Amino acid sequence: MRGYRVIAALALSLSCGPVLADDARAPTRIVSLNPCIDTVLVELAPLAHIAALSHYSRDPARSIIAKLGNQLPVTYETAEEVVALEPDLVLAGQHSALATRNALKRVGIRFELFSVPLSIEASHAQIRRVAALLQQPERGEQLIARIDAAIAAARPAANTPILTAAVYQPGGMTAGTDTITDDLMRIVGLDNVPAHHGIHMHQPWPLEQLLRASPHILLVNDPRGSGSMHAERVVQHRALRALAGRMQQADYPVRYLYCAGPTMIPALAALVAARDRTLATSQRAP
Amino acid sequence: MITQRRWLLPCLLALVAVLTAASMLVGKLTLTWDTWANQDAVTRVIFLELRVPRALLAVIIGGALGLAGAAMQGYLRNALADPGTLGISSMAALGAVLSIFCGIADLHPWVLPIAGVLGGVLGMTALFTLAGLTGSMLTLVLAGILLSSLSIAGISLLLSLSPSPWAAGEIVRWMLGALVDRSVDDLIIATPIIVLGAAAIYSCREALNALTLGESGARSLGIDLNRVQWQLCGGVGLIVGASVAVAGIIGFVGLVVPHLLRPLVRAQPAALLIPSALGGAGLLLAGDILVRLLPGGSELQLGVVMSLVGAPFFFALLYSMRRRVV
Repeated sequence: MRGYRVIAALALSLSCGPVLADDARAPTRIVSLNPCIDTVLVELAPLAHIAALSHYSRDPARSIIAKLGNQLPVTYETAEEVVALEPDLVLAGQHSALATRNALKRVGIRFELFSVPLSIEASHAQIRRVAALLQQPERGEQLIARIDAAIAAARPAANTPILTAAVYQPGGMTAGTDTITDDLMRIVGLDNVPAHHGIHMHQPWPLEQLLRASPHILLVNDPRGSGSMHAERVVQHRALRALAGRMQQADYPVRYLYCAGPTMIPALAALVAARDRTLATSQRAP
Repeated sequence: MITQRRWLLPCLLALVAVLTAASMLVGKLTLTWDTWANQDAVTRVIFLELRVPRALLAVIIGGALGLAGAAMQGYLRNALADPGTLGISSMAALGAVLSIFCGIADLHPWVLPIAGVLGGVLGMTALFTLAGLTGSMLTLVLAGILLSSLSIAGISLLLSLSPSPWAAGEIVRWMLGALVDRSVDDLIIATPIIVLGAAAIYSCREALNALTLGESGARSLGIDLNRVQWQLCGGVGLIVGASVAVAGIIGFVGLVVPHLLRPLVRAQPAALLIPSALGGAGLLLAGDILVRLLPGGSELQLGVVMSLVGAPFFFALLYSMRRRVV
């Protein structure tokens, strides 16, 4: 019983700490637990104020900020690591582990939960929210202006023909309705075919349907995979090779697929490159 | 003397033939004569590169699993024996995943299935060493649980240690088998291995019948039980290794089909082998067709459907066995 009281007192004293802190001051020890929030955070916060990013941000296959991620500390999303960093703000995704969040709540660390933005407007709203939390509203608006400029530059010239396109990633994964990729493709002047076939968000798309639709452009992950996993084998299927002449394959690495925010800038550039290359070859061909 | 109802084999053959044809025609897009007569390149590729290998793989893998289940149940004289329940399939998957993890799977397309076969043979050897002919039901089941949990832990560990961002999906893909989007390449790899394994198992049929008289009875009939054991080990290992390497772990086929057909062959283990293979092919084809007909943009995993169908059946089977025993 006595031991329990000691622990309770300890927990109480820990939980009092952040409450006493001045809420009006901008946070200076920020931890992000979500790879997409990582990319926003490094744009908005001074690097010295970032206590840790998520470990995904070090993986060049999954993050556009891998170079920076390797210079900054990371956590593997456990409460122990986060508490040890004594952060004054933790940014977590909605899909982070519930147990970790509950642990942070018990210790009394302030954390903010972010959902996955399903549209560009939602992504802009998310950037504004992060900027407000960091008390860096101007930096937030600057980032949004950069994204909007990239969007404006990516729009096709008038009377450019609309090309059909589909994402086809290892495991047959594609992006359907309610995805950022779907929005970006519409801006660039590409018609996202899986969205018309009942694919919602990110799901595997049966190869049969893909062949039947034969989109002009197939957005594939760069072929760095070894090809021995099931997931990687399907993108090298004989059926795709047999119809290679009909569909132009373009690089669209998987790191562009699941995040909005600043990731949209290189993603748009990749889509524009794919569109322009296919337009050029189709003009030469007839 | 092998006695069985004369109509059984023709019926099963017809069933497999009809289901094979249906499997080639049915899917997210139904191929009709009109679309085929148009002969556009896309339809031809869908038919030749997707539908045909998929249907043939369902026949070969379903048949092989049915045969392996019937042989294991006959040899161990145990109604619970099956490559899936006793962890042989997951041992084969562990072998295949190990070859991916070590990076040797990229050397040659045959490396991965051979690693699967080695895993399967190792699993069978461990099972026979632990439970063997004289072992009780309890030892056999415990050995099976040991093999499955060990191998599934190993698969998950290896895949999550690998640098691929698709590790989680890949684990699911190995655990819940599927035939979606397989190609002729898979067919070319799986067929010879499975045919070899099936031949090894089929040549044990005399021994399986003799074993119904018990171990000493079989010995007195001149059966070399040691040789039979290794032949079955190798045969089941080959079959399961190749199936798992191509389609992942597909459970319940080898368990359910022999039970369904056993009353029709008057409980003769040898007479059960061929009907079981045909029944397995039919069951897997039917499951694979069902997977494609369910609504929704992407397909369910075949392994999920087989378990959903197989588990209630197994429940009913156990319940009726219990009533008979009590």
